[in-house]
Amino acid sequence: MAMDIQFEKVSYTYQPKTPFQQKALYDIDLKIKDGSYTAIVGHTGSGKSTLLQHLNALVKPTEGMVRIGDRKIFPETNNKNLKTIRKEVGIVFQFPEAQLFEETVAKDIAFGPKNFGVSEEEAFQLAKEKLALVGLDDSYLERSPFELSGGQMRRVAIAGVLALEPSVLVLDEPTAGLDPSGRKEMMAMFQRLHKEKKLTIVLVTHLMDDVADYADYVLVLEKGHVVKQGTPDVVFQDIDWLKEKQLGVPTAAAFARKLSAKGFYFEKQPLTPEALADEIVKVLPRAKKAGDKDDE
Amino acid sequence: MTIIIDLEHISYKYQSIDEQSALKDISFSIEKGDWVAIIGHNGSGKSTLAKTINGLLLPENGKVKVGEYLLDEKNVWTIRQMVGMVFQNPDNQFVGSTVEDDVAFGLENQGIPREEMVERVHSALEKVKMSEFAKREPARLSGGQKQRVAIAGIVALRPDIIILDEATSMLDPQGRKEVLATIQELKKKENLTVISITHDIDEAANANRILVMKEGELIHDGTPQTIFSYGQELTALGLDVPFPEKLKSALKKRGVEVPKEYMTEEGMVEWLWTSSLKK
Amino acid sequence: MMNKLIFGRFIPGGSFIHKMDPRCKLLVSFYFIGIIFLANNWQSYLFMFLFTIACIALSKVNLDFFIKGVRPLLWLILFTVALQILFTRGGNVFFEWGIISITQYGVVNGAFIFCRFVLIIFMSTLLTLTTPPLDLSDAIEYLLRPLKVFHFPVHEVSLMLSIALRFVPTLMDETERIMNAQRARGVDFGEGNLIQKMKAVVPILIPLFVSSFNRAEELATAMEARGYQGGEGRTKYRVLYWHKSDTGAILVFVVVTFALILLRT
Repeated sequence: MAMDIQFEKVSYTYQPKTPFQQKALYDIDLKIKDGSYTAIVGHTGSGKSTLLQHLNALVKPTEGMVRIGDRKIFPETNNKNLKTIRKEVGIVFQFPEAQLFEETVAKDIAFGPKNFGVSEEEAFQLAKEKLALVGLDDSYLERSPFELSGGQMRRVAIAGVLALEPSVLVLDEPTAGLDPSGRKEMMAMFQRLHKEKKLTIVLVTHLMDDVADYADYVLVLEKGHVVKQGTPDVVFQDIDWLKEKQLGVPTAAAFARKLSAKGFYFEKQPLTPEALADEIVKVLPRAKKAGDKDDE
Repeated sequence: MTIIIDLEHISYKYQSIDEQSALKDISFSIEKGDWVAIIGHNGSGKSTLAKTINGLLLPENGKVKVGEYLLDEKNVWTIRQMVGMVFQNPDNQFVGSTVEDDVAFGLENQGIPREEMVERVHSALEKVKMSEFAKREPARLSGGQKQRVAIAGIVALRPDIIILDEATSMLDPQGRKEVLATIQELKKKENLTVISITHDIDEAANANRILVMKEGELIHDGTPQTIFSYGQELTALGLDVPFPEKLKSALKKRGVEVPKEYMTEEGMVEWLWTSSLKK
Repeated sequence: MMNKLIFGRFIPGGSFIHKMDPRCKLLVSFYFIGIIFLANNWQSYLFMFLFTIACIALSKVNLDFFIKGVRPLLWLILFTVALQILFTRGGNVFFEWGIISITQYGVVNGAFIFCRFVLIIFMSTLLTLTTPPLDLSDAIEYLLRPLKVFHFPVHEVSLMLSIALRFVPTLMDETERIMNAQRARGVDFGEGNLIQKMKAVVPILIPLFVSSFNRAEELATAMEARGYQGGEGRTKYRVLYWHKSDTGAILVFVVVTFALILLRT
């Protein structure tokens, strides 16, 4: 079944009809296609986390409709039976290591599947499998999650979500607080899951370089509205607009712009160092010697 | 130049039964007015090192000297007044219930009379541009704002040294910018010495000296130019690779000869432009 | 869930009640609870009701908040009232069965107890709705000061109280985050029987404890780095101001007490 997720005129208000009421999302229309790698960007407080909670029906829209696969969720949809959706759409929240609670890594990863009625043995099998998938070997299975390093704890938490075998994996700033090599490995892992396991990935991030490197579709959120969406090429086209919104620009695009100001001409705006290098070699003499006295 | 921090043969173990030392025989000194970045991957001992400077951890062996004070039980409170520290998690260092209460916390500890306290709180908040938030509660502040409040709390104590212990790692890019800009400005105005423990290339680029830690040892000590020229290796050392280095390696793959030494973005643009003209 | 709790929630405002010194508010609130027991007939209860309503009106806080404040305690109130009605004897007997009887005195006493509860809840809700928690903790510290003579750690207790208050929103956010994460892993809260419900709490409580301990440790380190060495020699940034109007408020309560004594039988 194709797990497209679609929002139709979705609005969400916190504590409606009280003096504390606060609107977080306004008339959102969007579509996250099955098999895509969609990035959601926007400032803190732009409504990203509220939107995220709609993706697996943790909250229901206060207006409009969310369609997840063949399920339609309206404001008046009954809260029961929403659980099956959460098996299809797994969410890895920010600092997911905070959700660990079991005595052993194996039990913690098996916790999710067991909530969905998977048998003890099968859940344990899943734990083993998913732990390998996040790059930890079997020796970790019987260890307490609390004696692991921060990066390892996060991997275990991610394995706990993967154990639900969702077809959509939502990642809320999955690399926050990791060091550069940890970040790189983590992003490579998601890329592998996307390519090999055909997982649909929704990535919430502040890092535009990650968006440029991995995403094939981008949604820009601001103050509860989707203000721009499209492929990275389209969204990153208007650099001035991105700068004005202080959203940040992929480093390669910003660098290319500096080159353009100098007089370089690019047929296509490069978004990654690799793409930029491709463009540059077109105009650079190949046999250039190192040590030419123009290093300034 | 006067030396403001001097570490001699520092070793540290978290528990005496631990086989591995968290810090192994570390010696270096820092000059007044320097901005030193300490880098290293998670678990390399860089935060442990920072905590020995203000006596939050007492080294097993070795001597720590801050200004003219040798770190010992008697001087530790004087030294803590000289060395302010901003920690990683903005929430877990916010003691006061409102912004101004938090800034006052350190002053209260010093027993500063109230009139002077009020004045110092206000001027500290002014310096980090948080005056209009004085009455706010922490729950209504962004991460970057909370860190600026933490900085104000330190500035109010008029320290000589400020240590940023991964102070920007939990912030969004905007918060990161705010905090860095605040530190840059304060450093100039207050003649501070800054030590920043970081993975962030922009933060490290502010330093005039970078120390690299690995498994409890100090393995490199050099200018950003030297350290940044390590290129792709930097990831393993716990730092992002600067963009010009990324581009250089992508160009190298495509058969372009690139200079070995580190170039800033501007330098790289210049180099590419002059190279392209030689076609 | 937590949003329904009105008790302990501060509603900012600039009314006379908001501006009162928290020490004064705290004192008169306790005093009110004391004198309410003087009321023993409908005239004195009516008088106290009118007085309470006047205070509420003065605070300019919507009466709805007060009524909502009663709701969580409604069962406790009804239970106590029921006990009174069923087990108090005297006056005309309306109904009798074994040790259970409904009598005139029982009904009257039940009604009075109901009034007493409601008035006490209204008054303490008024206190918390118009006083920031932090001011309350300052007031408590101030009023506890005499206990220092008995080596009671007044400073430590008040610091603990203010840190606890400061972390309430942080921990509420944290709880919500952890709940969401566990719901995403298939936990149903509030479903199933009591045992299942209790079981569902474990995956929240453990992470919450772990994170609280981590926070506490980091906070302690940060406090130490900022020179905290206990209460000795510390000065205080926060000060409370006693106004003439606070003295006035106390006088009003004295007058109320006299009126109450005159009205009671």
